[in-house]
Amino acid sequence: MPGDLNAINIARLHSGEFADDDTVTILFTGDCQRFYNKVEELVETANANNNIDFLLLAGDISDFSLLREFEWIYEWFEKLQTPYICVIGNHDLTANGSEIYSNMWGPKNFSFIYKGYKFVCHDNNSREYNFSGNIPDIPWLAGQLNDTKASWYVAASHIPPWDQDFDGKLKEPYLNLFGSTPGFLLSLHGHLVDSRSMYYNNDSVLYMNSSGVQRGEAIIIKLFKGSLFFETIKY
Amino acid sequence: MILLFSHPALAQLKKTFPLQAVTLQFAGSTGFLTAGYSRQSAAGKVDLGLLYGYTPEFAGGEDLHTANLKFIYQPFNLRIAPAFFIQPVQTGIFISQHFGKNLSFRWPEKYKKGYYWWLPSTRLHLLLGSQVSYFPENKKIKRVAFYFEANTNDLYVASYSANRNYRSIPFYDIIFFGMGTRIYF
Repeated sequence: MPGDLNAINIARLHSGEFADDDTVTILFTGDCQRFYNKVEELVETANANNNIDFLLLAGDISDFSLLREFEWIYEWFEKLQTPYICVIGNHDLTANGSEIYSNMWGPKNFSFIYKGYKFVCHDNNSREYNFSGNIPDIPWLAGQLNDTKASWYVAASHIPPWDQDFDGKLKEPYLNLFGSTPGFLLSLHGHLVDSRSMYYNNDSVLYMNSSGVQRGEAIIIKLFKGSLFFETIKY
Repeated sequence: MILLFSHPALAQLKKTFPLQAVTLQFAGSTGFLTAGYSRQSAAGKVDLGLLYGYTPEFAGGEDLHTANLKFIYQPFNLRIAPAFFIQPVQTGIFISQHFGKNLSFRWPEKYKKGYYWWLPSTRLHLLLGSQVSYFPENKKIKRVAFYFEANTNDLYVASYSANRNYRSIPFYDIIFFGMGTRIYF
């Protein structure tokens, strides 16, 4: 079984062989669970585009948390020419999914800095933890968002904060933390089959939800000196 | 216990399924090693078994115990030699109830009804196999059989069938194999 996939892909990203320019181009989508034919098309689409720095999947690698499902996605994503980063979704947390994700992809909360942008990937599947008040982990997030090495911040997680599966008690501190962080640009989510981007909390943070692989949708996000451009593509 | 064994339904079961067998199986989704007891219809075409499977940590990621209820239908009994016959087609279903630390019998109340449609601990399998039997010259043992069996389950069928091209995941990835012996007495 492969391990540390996120760390390995972040190391590949840092090797500098991908899209060597001053723009960060992300192919962003979510929820590939069970839709392997669309995953195949996603991989083809990604490989046909030379400008992509990395693919970012906002959770739900699997549908049933079966080991074989994680392996199927791993096998497809290994065909990508670019690195891939996978955040954990609620469907990856049933049965023994939590352990499988940890064994294959690594920690559920992790971050990396790339071209001045800090990507803060985290588990915010509150319902799976009985709305314990600890998921998303606000103190961990706060620690990540105070980094002298980063100029801008992008968060990636599965559940959009307006969904019922997000811990209601943490919604305000979560939104306020993002909104009060200088340089915080974007919060990326999946989970809902709903393509949406909005300034949800009346601050400068754009919240974006991809309707995901099932609908054959991905969003190309370009980050250039703190500015943000995006375009939805179909495959 | 006596009351249970003299229950009319059980008497009827014994009458409908007069033959009996014990089974030992390796792999095949019922457990790493599985032992069971089954009864067969008079014509030997229907086999109804209860099996217990154990999967140690090295094979399953965690210690797993599995109770299986297995129904097999074998339409053809072909005698290939005086002491041998084969059942080239064994088809059937089995329900596996797993007992593992993260495999709940029902979803907790934090989920509204239907949030997840499947149960983590209960799998429904389809099987297809073949069996060859030998009649020993032993009055206590009626026959000794060896079988080979392929199966898949509800979640793998759901995964495979969601792919309209039937190619993006290979078919052999959703098929699991097992083999075993049945001793009829």
